[in-house]
Amino acid sequence: MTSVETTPIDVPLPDQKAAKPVSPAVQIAREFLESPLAVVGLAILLIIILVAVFAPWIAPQNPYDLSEIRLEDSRQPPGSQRTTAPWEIDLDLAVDPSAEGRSEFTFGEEAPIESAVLTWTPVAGENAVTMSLIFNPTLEGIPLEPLRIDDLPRRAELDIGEKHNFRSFWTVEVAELAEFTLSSSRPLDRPFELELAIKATEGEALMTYWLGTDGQGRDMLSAIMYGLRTSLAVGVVSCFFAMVIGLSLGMTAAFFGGRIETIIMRIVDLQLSFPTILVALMLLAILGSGVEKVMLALIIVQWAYFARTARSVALVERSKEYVEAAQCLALSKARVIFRHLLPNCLPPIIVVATVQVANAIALEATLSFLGIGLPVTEPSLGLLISNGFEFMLSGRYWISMYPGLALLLTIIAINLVGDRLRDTLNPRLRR
Amino acid sequence: MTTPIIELDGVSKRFVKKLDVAERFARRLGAKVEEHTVHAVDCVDMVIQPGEVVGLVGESGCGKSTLGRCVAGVHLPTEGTILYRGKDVTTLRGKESLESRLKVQMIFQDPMSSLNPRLKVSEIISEAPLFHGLITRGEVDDYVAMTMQRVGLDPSYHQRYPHQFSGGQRQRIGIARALAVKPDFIVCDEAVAALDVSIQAQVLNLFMDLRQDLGLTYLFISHDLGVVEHLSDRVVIMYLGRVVETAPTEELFLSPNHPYTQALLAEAPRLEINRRIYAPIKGEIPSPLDPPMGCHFHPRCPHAMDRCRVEAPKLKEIAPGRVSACHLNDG
Repeated sequence: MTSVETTPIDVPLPDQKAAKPVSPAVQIAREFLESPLAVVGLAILLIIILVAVFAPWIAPQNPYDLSEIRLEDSRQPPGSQRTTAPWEIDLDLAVDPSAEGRSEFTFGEEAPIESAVLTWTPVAGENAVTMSLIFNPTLEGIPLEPLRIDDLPRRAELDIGEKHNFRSFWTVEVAELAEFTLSSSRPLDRPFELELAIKATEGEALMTYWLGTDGQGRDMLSAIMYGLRTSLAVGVVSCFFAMVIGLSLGMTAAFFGGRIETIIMRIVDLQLSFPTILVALMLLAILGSGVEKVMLALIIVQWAYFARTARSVALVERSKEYVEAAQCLALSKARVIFRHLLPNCLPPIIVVATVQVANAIALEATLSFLGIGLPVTEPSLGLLISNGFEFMLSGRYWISMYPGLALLLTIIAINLVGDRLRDTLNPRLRR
Repeated sequence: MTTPIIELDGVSKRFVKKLDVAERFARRLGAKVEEHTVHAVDCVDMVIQPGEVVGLVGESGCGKSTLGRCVAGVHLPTEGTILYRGKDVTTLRGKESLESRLKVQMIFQDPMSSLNPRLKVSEIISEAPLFHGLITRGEVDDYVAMTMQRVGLDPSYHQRYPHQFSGGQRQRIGIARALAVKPDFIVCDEAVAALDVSIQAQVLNLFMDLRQDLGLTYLFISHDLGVVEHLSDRVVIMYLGRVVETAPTEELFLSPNHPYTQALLAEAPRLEINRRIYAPIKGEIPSPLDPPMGCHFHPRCPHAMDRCRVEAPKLKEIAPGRVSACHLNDG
């Protein structure tokens, strides 16, 4: 035997600054954030997810509550407003022209002013009364239709405004009411009542249809938020189940091999040889439409991708020495699979999952657009696009275009994130 | 004589690629389709005494790693028996079986892929002892610290992940993981081949320290003759799945008997001032899918005779403690 020297113990670590343990997950996150494009994609995706999750609380309108939708607001262009009905008040002002007098009218709750006071003075020696109508507070600044004064005594005339060509009322401006004269060719000896109609030109703005409204008068912005909700939910849920099924079958195939593997992988090959949209169309033709049926169809067309990836990754990981080491340490099979194999198989699966979520959303939109996807009561982006399609040629682009943009943005964001994830998680592309 | 710690009795390991449906159908129709069988290990006998360090040497592809894995229990041998302290490991049940498996541990070649990248060092080391109830949860920290210290790692690094360590340190983690289940036999499968020469020396010295401290027995698999010479008490030379020569280290290096051993030693790189011309052993190592008849080495052997082509030589004792499989020894 050669002599045994003492072993130098502490070889300095390559990176002394990294005093804290850096888990692989943290390392991957750091690397992920190095790409600005991916960060933008991630930010957009997070916003989209937040919007989708909190749609009922942040959407200006519940687009599927029929009591909130007004048909008269249908097909409004982006930026138009939804208003209340304009307020309208008729005042009856009693005038006794025989003597100087004062008459007051108090408004109700609905009007923006409290009261109107009419004072009048008969003009001595003439059949005339000078009058003054003061509003409290003033009506200035409130957009109004021209005021109408009606029910003048017979043959009486005003020195302000204009009489309607053939009807009995006069239209006057608010400012002119401060002082005006009512004169008549006949003596004004009896009391009379003037009727004054005040009408606002427009009601109060309730909300703005930033992205316009669709054919039923729904706010497109709210409809898109709710549509995102449905689209994302369908995409994520179907992808999750497809992943669970694909992962278990793929790992089973890799682990047991032999006939089981052959059967599973041939089914996968068979499945992948058909175009997904065709399979989904056939399934929905058989199953009928409905959210759960669309999800089922999406799961059926997607699990094969996961199964194939899971099998190949598991085959690679299974041959690594840490699995042999675990066997050597007599750990149970379940422990080797779930604690050693599975966590190391996940990264490529996550990449496939992100890309497949985008695919599922696009596929669901396609199915809905074709009219065999989701029912009208649970509209997704695809259905919104389909609804607006008939208005495209009449220039009402917004009904179709904005949901389309939302769909595009979602899919691009998911793909940006997925691409970057693939770059960071793929050991072959590692620097 | 004491009971050997490990005894291999006619151990063979064959990997068979079964015919698929189409091939079986073709064979039924008369096509010549054969199952592919790799004779990785072919009828190997070996006895290892407690405290010994046995070097297992051979070209890459000669089945030495497969043999090591059979000994460590990662592979089941196709034929033959492996005895741990005189007991057949395949017939043991329950607690005894578990104990015999834990007592034989393995250290792998690639320090990167032999550690699960998702576990912290403390988890890597403590997983098996916790799983088998050798320690309790409360003792984990102390146990991990003790084991890390034993292999020359700073215990304060126990919360780190494998990728934060250098190659030599990772190999120490692998050693700590094996030591954590208190083995008495360790199979080192090219354990230092992936390391820098300076680090190799540190790890080899660590092996020797551990051998003294813990009374370990090693099966040291390597293609590096220098390492084996430095470390082993006894050397086993393998060629294409068969043992061709076994001898105490010093004798083997002084006077190799088998032509293959002679060729190996002649070509071992040494520090010498004068230039040497390396004359590689002629030809490629034959495919284990289709090993040559007779002595496996005959297509490359300078002394090959007619007899070598038909009859496989048996291992014969040529001196006390030395066996060799060559017809030349029959005189």
